[in-house]
Amino acid sequence: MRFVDAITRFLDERLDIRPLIEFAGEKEVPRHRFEGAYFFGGLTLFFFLIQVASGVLLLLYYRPTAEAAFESVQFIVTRVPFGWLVRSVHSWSANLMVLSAFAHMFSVVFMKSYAKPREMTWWTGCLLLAMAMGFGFSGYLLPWNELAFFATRVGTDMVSKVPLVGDWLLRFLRGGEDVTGATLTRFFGFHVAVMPLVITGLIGAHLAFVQRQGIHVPRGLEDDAERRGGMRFLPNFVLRELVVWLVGLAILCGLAAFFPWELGVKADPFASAPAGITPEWYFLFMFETLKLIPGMVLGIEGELLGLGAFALAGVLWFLIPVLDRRARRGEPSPLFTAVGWFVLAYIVVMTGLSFMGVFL
Amino acid sequence: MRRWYVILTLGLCATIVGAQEGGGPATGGSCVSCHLELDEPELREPAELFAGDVHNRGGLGCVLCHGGDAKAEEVDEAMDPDRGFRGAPAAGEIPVLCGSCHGDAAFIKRFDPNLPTDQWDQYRTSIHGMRLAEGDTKVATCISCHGVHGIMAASDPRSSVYPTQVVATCAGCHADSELMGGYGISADQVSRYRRSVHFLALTEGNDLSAPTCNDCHGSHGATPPGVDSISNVCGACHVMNMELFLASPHAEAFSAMELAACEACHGNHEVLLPNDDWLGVDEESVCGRCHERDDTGGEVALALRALMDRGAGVLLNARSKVDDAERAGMLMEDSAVALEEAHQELVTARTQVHLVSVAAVEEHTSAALEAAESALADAAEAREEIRFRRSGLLVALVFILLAIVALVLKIKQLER
Repeated sequence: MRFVDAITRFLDERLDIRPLIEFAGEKEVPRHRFEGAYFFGGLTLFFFLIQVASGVLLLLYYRPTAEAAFESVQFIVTRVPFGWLVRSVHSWSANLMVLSAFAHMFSVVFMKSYAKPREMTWWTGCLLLAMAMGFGFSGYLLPWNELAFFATRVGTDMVSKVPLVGDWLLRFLRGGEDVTGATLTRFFGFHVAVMPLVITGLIGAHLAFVQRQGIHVPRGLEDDAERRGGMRFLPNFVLRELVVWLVGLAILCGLAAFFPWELGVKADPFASAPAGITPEWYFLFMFETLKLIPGMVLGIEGELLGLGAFALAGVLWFLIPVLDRRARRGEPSPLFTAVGWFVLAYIVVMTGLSFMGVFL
Repeated sequence: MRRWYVILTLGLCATIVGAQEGGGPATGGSCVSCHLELDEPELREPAELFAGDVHNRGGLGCVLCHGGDAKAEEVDEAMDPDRGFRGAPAAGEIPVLCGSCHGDAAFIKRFDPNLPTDQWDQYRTSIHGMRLAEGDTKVATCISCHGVHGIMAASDPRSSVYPTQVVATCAGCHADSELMGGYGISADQVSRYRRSVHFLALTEGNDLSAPTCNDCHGSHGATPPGVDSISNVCGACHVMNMELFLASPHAEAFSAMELAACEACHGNHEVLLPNDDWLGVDEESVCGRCHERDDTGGEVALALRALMDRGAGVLLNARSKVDDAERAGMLMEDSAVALEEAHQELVTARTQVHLVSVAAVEEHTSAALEAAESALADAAEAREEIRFRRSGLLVALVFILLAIVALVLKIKQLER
């Protein structure tokens, strides 16, 4: 402890960090029967940190070209000491991060924590989820295996449906007309440089908003929270968060050791697409919905209509803090609770049915 | 008879030349336009079918085979014998009629320079052609296989002589027990062929090079291969097997016993996928049909069987172990290469069986064993790695659990 005190004193003399320590020491996290939901945000951050660490290790051996990408990942998982573990942890952690982010988002929706004055926290959170999915989409291609190659071809093809700028967007994403080595290099650039830069800024803003505004107590739980009293952020909440992180780490280790992430076979751009091409699980509900829409609906291309509907739904979801006026006034808003349950049920059911092979 | 052929051929050539000189290719003309309006299906259908006929697409019309005048407006004029009309040719006339054009290299070259022009010559050497020459009009002629008015190029998948259709075409007659009974031929060849590895490769494997009826019997010169020629027929594709067989002690013995080379062991129409059980001297074995356990051939057969069984057994075991490791998430690329090598060596060993030499077979089964054992060693290493990973995970989980317990205790202490 003497060493920690010495370091703190050293930093305080130079950076005046005492007010920050006092702020953290005084900060409290409300306690109520749904307080467990508060840990998902931190858990998402934990998986993101794992992503950064394991991603940096993978970068030491990964080569982002169509000729060498697959072989370099193969080398990592077969020849590099603990390379299999690092790659498997990176892949599993990415999926757990998205899962945890979804859980965090729906807990915010059901607790109406997005309402004024926390709109900006919601908006940065939505952007963070989109970034996490973007990380998944760009990272999916990097091993340059058959499944990823064709899923990326299908996925990027969808942007060509965007009116006016679709073709330009398609070429921007692919670096050409088709998915090639240029696409791989481009996705690699997005995945390890552009997106980390953006997400770091967003995470900073998101955390700053949470710290500035404090933790929201849901309507109807104020009495419960008052009765239980607050929990000190340091060290009580942080220690609890650490327990959650360790549980997350245990799950991650178990998955990585017992279910190593498959590598598949190297992509062959000239081969015909194999059966059963699917995107990552968190895109499945959209993917399957688009497949169910007829080719033409009222004279409009079905896929365009579906993408338009998802884009509109995304915008409305993003604007929930503005649309939900009752929550803003601190009143119950059952309509938005029902919408939240509907969206959650839709995602879960469509994803589950897809895994069960109902749409094959 | 010969004079009649000459007259017919000259008449046909005159018709063709006339059609060409008449400006532009001959087409259906008034024949097709009238026949399409007829109520009788048997008279209307030929005109309908002719629209897709390869001859029609080449500009060759009805008068080429039927004579008459396709430019005449009136039926009496169009079908006037004085204008060369001869109606439907009789069965016996058909090969001559078709051969009059298809045997003319200069004429055929104008339509398809690669089309053979020896069909008529070949047909005359075939059983069909020889019987026809003897006056048997029930035998197959050109139209029996190629059709009449809707003839397609042999390369057209819809054609009755396209590789995948040939067996059904031949079955039209050769599966007809009543018709075949008249010639003392059994009618089960087609059904037996349909159970063969060749038919399987052709239809399910989509391998158009897999043999169908005409690949062994010939098409225009169709005839059953004799005992002496069977190894040449099979050897046209199975070159290595034929060479090994001819170098083996069996070649002379089979010849002396008048056994057909390949057929004696593999059968003819119903050629099944061979397996290692064919070796040895027990009931299921092929060798056991001639050899006893204690004769030299029987001893060789048993030795070959033992070599193949050992190779196949070790490969099976190695494959199972590698599969287990793959299912546990290990990448087994090197093992897959070794397994493929072992498999290829066993395939080569099976080919070497035709030489009936224990040493030749053992050379390849030993190589197969070496490759399979290398895969087995990889699989054992992978199993060890899996054990290491899982025990490592267990240790990590213990530490994580301890850390969790310590944190929970600390929280409790803080909040006491």
